Amino acid sequence: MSINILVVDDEEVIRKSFILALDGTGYNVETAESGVKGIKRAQEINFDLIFLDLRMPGLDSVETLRGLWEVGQTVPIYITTAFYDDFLARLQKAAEDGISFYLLKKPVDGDEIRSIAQVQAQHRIRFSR
Amino acid sequence: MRVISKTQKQPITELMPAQQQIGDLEESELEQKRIINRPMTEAEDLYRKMIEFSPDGIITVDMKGVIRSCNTAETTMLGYSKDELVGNHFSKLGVMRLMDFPKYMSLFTSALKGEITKPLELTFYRKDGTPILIDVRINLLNISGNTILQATSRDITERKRAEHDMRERIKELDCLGGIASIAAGPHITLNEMYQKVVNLLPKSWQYPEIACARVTLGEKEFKTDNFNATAWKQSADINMENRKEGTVEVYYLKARPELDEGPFLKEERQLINTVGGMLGSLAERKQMEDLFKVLTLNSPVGIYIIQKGRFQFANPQFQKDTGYSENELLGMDSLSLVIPEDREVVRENAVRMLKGERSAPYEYMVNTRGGDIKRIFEIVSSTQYRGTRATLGYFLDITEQRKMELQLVRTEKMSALGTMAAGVAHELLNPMTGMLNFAQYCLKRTARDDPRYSALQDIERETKRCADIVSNLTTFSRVENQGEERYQKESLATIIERVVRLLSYRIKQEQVSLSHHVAEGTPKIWMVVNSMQQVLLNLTSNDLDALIGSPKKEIHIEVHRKGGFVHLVITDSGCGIAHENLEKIYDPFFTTKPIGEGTGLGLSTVRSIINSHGGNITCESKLGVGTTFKILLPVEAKGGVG
Repeated sequence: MSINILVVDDEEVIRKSFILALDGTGYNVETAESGVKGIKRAQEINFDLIFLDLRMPGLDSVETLRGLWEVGQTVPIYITTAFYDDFLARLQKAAEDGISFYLLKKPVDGDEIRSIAQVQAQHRIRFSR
Repeated sequence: MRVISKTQKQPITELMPAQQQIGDLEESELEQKRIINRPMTEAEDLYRKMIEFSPDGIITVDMKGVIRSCNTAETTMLGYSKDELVGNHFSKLGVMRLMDFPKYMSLFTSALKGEITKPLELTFYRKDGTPILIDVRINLLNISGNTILQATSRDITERKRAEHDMRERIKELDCLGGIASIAAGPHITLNEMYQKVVNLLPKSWQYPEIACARVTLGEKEFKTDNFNATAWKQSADINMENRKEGTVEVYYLKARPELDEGPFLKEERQLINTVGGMLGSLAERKQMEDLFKVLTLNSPVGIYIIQKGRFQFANPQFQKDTGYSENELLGMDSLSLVIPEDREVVRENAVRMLKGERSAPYEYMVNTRGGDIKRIFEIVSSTQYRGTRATLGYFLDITEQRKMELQLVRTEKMSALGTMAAGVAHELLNPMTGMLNFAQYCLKRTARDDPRYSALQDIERETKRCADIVSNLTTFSRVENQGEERYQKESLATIIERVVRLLSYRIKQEQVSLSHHVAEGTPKIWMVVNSMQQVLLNLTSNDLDALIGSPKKEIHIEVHRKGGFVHLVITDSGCGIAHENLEKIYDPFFTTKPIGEGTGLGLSTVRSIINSHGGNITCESKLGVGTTFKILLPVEAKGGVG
């Protein structure tokens, strides 16, 4: 069963990595190079899974996360990061505010991406608000 | 005078008392003698001259008491002219004190009996009334049947005064010398000194048998055994730093004739003043000495004094720092402590500082008695010691301090390195994610028998290895900022079992015997489980690496509680760590493994984690025998936060 996946990352190499990793899986992958564009796209299409880069110029991951939450997203959001100490307090605050997300440690391996997508394709996980 | 005219050959006879002495002899007799004993005249002349020029006063008196002749010295001594004396009755002149007559008469009587008389000390009055002390000897001369008394007298007033002065001076010197030698006693206390001085004082006063003394100093009082405060007192102040601090007093227990100051002599006034001054300065000196002793004895800084390049004094701290005893140091060449390559610089700096050209302390290395090298921080100044120029040195061992400073610099460097590493890691992880996925994408679309397939596998594997290294870097920087929330109470036994399971394949393959023992009652401790797992994983992996090629392959992990800490001890029987490398093992990037097999971050990560848990890690190692890591972790603290 096909699902829609959004990858928000300012670096093209990461966006391309996700596209290549998911190539041939039949899942529909869309990318956005900024948080603003990602939120806008999420309002236009119903995504089943979102990957979000922690560190981005403009809106960063936590702001984007809140933005996505505000536009009604309930799908799993994976934040990819090398380390998140700088963001820890704000991420904790977001979690306390009831916003659900996962952390995904970089470098993200193709198998990891595919297995996450596969799980979501099978279970269609949605968070309650 | 008759003779004079008749003896022309003797032109100065007029002045000759000898002639006068015999002037009353029968002229005829004299004349007769002269004729008969012509050769005697020269001797006679000599005799007369001797009498006239004698420094002693010589006077002749007949048995009736009339002065018959006298020499010049006699007239000078008594202040009368010859005319006033000769022909007058001796007693009527009032030269002799009435009270002295009995003494004089007894002497005279003895002389008459032909006894040899002793000289007599008498007080005479000169014509002007001043008393003089004279020493008189009398002889009876029999000249042609007439007995004449000849008195030889000498003015001993000056001599007596000198004798008196001398006696006083000797007493004074005895007293002051006594005080000085009391004060010079090597271990004498101030109280002992005062008591001894008090006992010494009476001896130096004119009537020692009835003298007593007292020294009062603030609250303290020192007295002779016979002390009694009477009305006959002489006292002086004891001053210290120009302030009166006490008194020294001498009393007579009985009345004595009035002298210069009551019954006391002016010399005694001088003496007691001097004693007062001396006691004051001795007390001052003693206090300074005591202060010096206390200051140097308890000083945390080494203090020494050198003269002519040799130690004259060294305080306990200096002895402790150098390892030499006082006896070994005294007389030792001061530069012999300095390591040879620093000697010239030390000499130069010290000289410049003594000349006032340099004020900043200087540093150098010394060789201690035990062979250790210590870093010293020093100041010297010029001073006087036992009356001679000396150099006073303040000597501070800064070896430990310097080591800590270096460690701090190293820690700061590492912290900077951590920050940098995190930045680099972040920058590298994105491209690596790309590389990894690109390689995997290609791999999927390449047939297994395609020769490019294995090359792509290589790219994938090597990229993963790069990513691992970079991840380690982030771990290293991250542990320093861990939040407390991630701490939980966990047993080390659980962690050890997990790690052993993880490594079981390698342990089996390399035929290593791994044992572990967790003592009963070892409590769970607060830890970040993943971090603690990493600690054990890193240490055990290191052990496994160390055992490669080792004939004995054993690892033992021991855990037990000791006080507020849990001890975790990991021992291997591997190749050991060279002594020179022991200090560097925690440095990031330090590794002894072949390039490509270790990132060097293992132990620095371990230490970061242990430190962030409020613990401590130490390492002991012997080449060829093995290595032991000892880790202390607090039972109660939730990590080293704050």
